[in-house]
Amino acid sequence: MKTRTPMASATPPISPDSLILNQVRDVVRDRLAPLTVKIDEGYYPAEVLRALGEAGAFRQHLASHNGRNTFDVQTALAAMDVVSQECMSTGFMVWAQDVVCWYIEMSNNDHLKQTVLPKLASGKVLGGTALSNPMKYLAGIEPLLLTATETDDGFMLNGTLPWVSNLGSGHWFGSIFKVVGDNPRDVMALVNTDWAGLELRQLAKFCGMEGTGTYAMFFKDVFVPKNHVLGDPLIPYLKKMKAGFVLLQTGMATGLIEGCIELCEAAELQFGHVNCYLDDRPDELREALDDTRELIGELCTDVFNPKPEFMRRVLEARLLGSELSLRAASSAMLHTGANGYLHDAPAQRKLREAYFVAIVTPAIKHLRKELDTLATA
Amino acid sequence: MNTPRWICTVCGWIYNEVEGDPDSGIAPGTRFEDIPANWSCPLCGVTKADFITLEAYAAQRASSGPKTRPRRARGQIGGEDTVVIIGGGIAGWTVAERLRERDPERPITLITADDGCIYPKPALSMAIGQGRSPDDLIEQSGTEKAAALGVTLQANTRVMGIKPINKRLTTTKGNVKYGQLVLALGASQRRHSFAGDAADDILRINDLTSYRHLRSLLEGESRHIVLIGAGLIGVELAEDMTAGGHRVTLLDVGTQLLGRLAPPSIAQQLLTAMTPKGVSFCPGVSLAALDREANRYRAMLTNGAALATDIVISAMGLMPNIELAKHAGLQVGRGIIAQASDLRTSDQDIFAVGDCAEIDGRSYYYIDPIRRQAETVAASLCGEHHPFERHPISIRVKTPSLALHLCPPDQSVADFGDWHFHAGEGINSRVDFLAHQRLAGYALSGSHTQESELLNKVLISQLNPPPQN
Repeated sequence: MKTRTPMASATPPISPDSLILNQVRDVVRDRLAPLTVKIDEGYYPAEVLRALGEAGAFRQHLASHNGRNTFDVQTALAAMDVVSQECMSTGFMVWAQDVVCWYIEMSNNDHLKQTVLPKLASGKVLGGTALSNPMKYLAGIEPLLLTATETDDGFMLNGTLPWVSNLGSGHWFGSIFKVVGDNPRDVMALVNTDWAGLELRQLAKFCGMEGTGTYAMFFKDVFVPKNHVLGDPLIPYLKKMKAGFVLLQTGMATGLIEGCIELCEAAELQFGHVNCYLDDRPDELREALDDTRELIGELCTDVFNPKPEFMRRVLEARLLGSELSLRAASSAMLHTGANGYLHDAPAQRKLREAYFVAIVTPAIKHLRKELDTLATA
Repeated sequence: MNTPRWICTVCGWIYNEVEGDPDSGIAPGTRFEDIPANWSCPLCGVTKADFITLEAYAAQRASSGPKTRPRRARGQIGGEDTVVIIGGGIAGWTVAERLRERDPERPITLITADDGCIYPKPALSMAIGQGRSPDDLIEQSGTEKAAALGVTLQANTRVMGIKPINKRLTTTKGNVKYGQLVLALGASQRRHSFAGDAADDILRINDLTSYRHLRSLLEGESRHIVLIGAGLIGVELAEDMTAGGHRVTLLDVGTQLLGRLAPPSIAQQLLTAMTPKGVSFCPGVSLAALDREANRYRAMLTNGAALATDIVISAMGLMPNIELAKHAGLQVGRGIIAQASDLRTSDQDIFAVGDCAEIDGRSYYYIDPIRRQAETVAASLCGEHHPFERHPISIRVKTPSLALHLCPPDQSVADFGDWHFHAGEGINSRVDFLAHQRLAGYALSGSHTQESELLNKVLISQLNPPPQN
């Protein structure tokens, strides 16, 4: 399969009052906010995700579905940002859904574009990324965990992925596997959780963000038909979609940071006279957040730039998102004091969410490794 | 936000009338006045009498708080009164040293993408021959150096953007404010996109990190290396790697080693001395494509030849790192444009120094001019006048096979003169570059290298003629 380079498209910044963002805000206020604590503890908000899909949150970066014929990553991020301000678990699932759509949009697979993509883009069907292990494999951090044998019309997959998010019955996810045999290579395809031989098990219990549909996946002779292949050869396909994949995550960070700043600001009347002794005051954080959003916005206008210099900037932006998330969340704790330490307090939840931004693939350590590798090349 | 809110003066819990206190049976929307007197604070148990409005509380406390923002307890990374230096190479650290000598009080922050350790960069191209590991080259850690100079070091941090209007930077660790900014961003090996599935594996050696990577690849057995570019760095690296028992094929699109730095006769002397050590030179040739083949690489050359190799290094010439400055709207040419008088860029609070700077159309990649530029910047930062003067570029080439001292002609006369044999024979010779019948450069080999100081004096007096009586 040959990979075509899509037309690069510069998109003007969207207005914060645009219809799509207002619709997303409505869903967040009316449907998501009442569930935030429950989601943190383990409730999977499928109905919220579907409503966000209906509001258009998952199709903004898809030239084929947003009605503007541009790859408007910036608006997709703005929607994710709004969601993450309230609940980053849900923001994370918005990212997962955005990315599984991006996989298909960036492929040359017309079958998937016609059959599956419309359902994912509108939120009728949900899906996950499953690229944590492959991303780490490509960065030389761990081996690929799925292997496959090739048949005339497909691949038989075996192996285990430790944790993949935004899964459930009938969900789609992207899967990279090592093909053994006469023509060894790495291939990526779209797989459905309902297919025979695939088992999901909820093994781990996390300290937060439990309602993200995160499962271990066991593959035993799972047959993947060739009309579900996304990338073969894999590397040119991944190169094309990687900047978008990484950039799309930054909406979680900017939303979380915004939420933390609001907590600091809300504590000002009560604690301003003593909070002024803290580092990272809300005005300083807001300045940093504004600059970060501006920088990310610039990168979004150039997502198909193949130069290593551009990828370096994308990785740096993602790293900044993590570092600033940790600082903002720490600041939210310190600014709100004991109130933030209460069991259901948003500050302590945001602290756990911030660590998630910093450790979800690509984690801070992973990003620093990749940046180091780019520096030596 | 105008919802009436009452605060417990004991524990700080806030009663919000919209939310009420349903756990204690107070319905949302209950006015504070209407709460029964026996109600108590759900967090600490004190009574209603210990509550006042949040606004009254804030007003009380504000009068006891500091009027201006207290100095931050942590770090002091940058600040409106701070000189922020970006870059932890020789240029950046030398500015910090010279500035500290002049002003013991000035807050200085140095931001660097690496760990900020101090090492002599020219030593990278002779370490193998000297039997030194990359770690042996480190003279001092960044932390020690920073402590000694009273500088705040922000290491492992990348600067992503500069906003000159707001005088602040965006870094991978957040924003940093500056009073004055010094750009010591260095240069990078020119990037050429080669074909082939292993093109991304081509190395560029310009700092300790990349050098460390090269040394790890050279460990163990004898390797074959393809070096693209037979300029100063290419030639020095090639010779040094042969000292470790490796073989090198040197490619260059030109016809000789060292290009315009040396006359053909001296370049030939060097090649003759290097060949028996395991260096082969392919003039007029570059790399076309690099592909993986078994555990090695297959290098396709532009002349159609192919060779199996282990490592490919690109040394096609340095390019000043200007992207950050360009993005910030500073004036750039090939480098970041700075005035010789004070090394200010087009923004009066931003200075450029070292490999990244362009002064009167020239960039300087050598230690001596970089040190003198650092002096100029430090002086300017203290309101003194210490302009940067252009000296002849005098280079001692680190090739043990043949002692070489080169002083290429300045670009303004390079096309108006030629190399002329002056004295000596064999590997001990002196060749002069004459432009308009005047000495404009020289190339010395073997025993003649000791004449360099004398010739430099001649050249300096021509560049900066003594005042006439």
